[in-house]
Amino acid sequence: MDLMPIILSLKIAAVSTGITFFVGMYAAWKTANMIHGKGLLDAVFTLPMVLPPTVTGFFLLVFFGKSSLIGQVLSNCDFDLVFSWRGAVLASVVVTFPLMYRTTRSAFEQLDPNLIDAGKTLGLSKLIIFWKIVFPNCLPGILGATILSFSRALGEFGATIMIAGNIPGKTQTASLAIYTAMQAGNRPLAYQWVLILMLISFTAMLVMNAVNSRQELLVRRGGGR
Amino acid sequence: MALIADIEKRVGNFHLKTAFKVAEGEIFGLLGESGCGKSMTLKCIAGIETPDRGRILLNDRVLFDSEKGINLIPQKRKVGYLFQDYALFPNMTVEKNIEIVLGKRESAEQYIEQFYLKGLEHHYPFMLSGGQQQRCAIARMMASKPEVLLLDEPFSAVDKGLKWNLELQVLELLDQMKKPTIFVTHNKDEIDHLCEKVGILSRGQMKETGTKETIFRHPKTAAAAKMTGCENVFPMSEGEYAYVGIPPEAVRPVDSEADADITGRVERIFRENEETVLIVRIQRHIFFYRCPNVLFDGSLAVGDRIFLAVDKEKVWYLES
Repeated sequence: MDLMPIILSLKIAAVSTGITFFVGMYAAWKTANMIHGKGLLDAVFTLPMVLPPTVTGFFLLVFFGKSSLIGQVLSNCDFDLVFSWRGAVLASVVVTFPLMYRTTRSAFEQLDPNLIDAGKTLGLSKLIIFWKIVFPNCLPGILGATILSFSRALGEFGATIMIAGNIPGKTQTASLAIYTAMQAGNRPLAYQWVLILMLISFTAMLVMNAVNSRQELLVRRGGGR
Repeated sequence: MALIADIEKRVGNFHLKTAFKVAEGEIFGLLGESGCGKSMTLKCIAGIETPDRGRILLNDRVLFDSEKGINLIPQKRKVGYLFQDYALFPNMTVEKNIEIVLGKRESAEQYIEQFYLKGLEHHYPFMLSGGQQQRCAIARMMASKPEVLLLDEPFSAVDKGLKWNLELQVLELLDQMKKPTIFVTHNKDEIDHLCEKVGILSRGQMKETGTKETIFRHPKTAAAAKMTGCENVFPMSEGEYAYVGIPPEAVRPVDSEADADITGRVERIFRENEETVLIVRIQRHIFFYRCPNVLFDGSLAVGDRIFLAVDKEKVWYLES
């Protein structure tokens, strides 16, 4: 059995979740504290969630394709996005970013603002306030967002096929393999990938719930709001 | 060595305008009803909120000056802020809550001992009682070596039975620390117990400042009279003062309408521990007549007419 599709899926999901984790959290932290222009930025950040993935993929091709300026610069640096696994990572990042951003932002907004103000008056730097106070107290929300993003990345199809294509052994992820198998009339193979993807996603959700209830015991009692 | 604040801030149609000075080792009480701008005043001093205009000086350091464009970040102000809900970091033990402030410079040991937290070092905030949480919050605040202390209604989250303990605890700690302190509350009794000087804040405006004795014994504004517990404050239609306040000791009952200054009808009678409170309706106004239980003979009932004489020497004439 060719394991390449699932290896590719996991690799792309892991790398894109790693990127989304930081980018999404940063965007969430910045907008949670914004006073002006919050609504507009929020709409822009959430857009990839409501757009059809093919539309997202289309825009990615327009911006990063071989004929675009960015595409040419990247091509000169030997960093191809189109028809490469990196393109699949980019597609996953864009599609999962709204999930990470929205979920962490609501976690940040639920945090008692006095905790941050207390940190400031106690002389703690912004970095310490974020990593030692905000982050641990919002950890259940952030972990949930991360697992959600990972699961979504694992199942990403539309935007990926637009920018990275469906090249076996190169960009064919498990969810693309299901499509190809069905097209070729190979039902057993499709079932196999369906089962594997479902198992992974289901496990991820179980892990999320387990972590959440443990964290809640430790953090939420007496703290936050 | 003191804190001097003179600030103005507008939020919507709320206008905060307040000026006061707190000397070394002095406890300044800021008294006002909820929503009058007490907390906002503290937040301006701490640098959490930014005033529109004014100056804040602390021991010759300028914390804020709108004209010179100075606005220190909260981290550099050396202002200790005790939050109403204490704002302990819920993910850290008592020891870690203090250590994070100290960094690697010192151990938390000394603070844990000074604030009676021995044995609680490894407890999380949710495992502590209200009093222990408060001690932990004070210890953490002191670890940041503040030059002024801001206490934001520290007893409002506490049961009445425990309040005395906490007040005594805070009083003892404040005595040890000898720092200028601003104590914010809506409770006159707390001010009575803890402070020497008082400021009355009403709808964002500082109405009066002075020693506790002068303001409590003879308020000059209607807001001060109400905040210090005077129930009978009435607008005056003529004369140079806008309001009149009638303290309980100025009122005595008389037998006939001829001797009375106030004639009304008893609307309700409440029996309290020491006193009987008669709610008297005088036209559009409600008058509170407090009579010691020993003197109340029960001859008055709801619906009866009541005649009261007012000693004009003891009445307060108040500005708005």
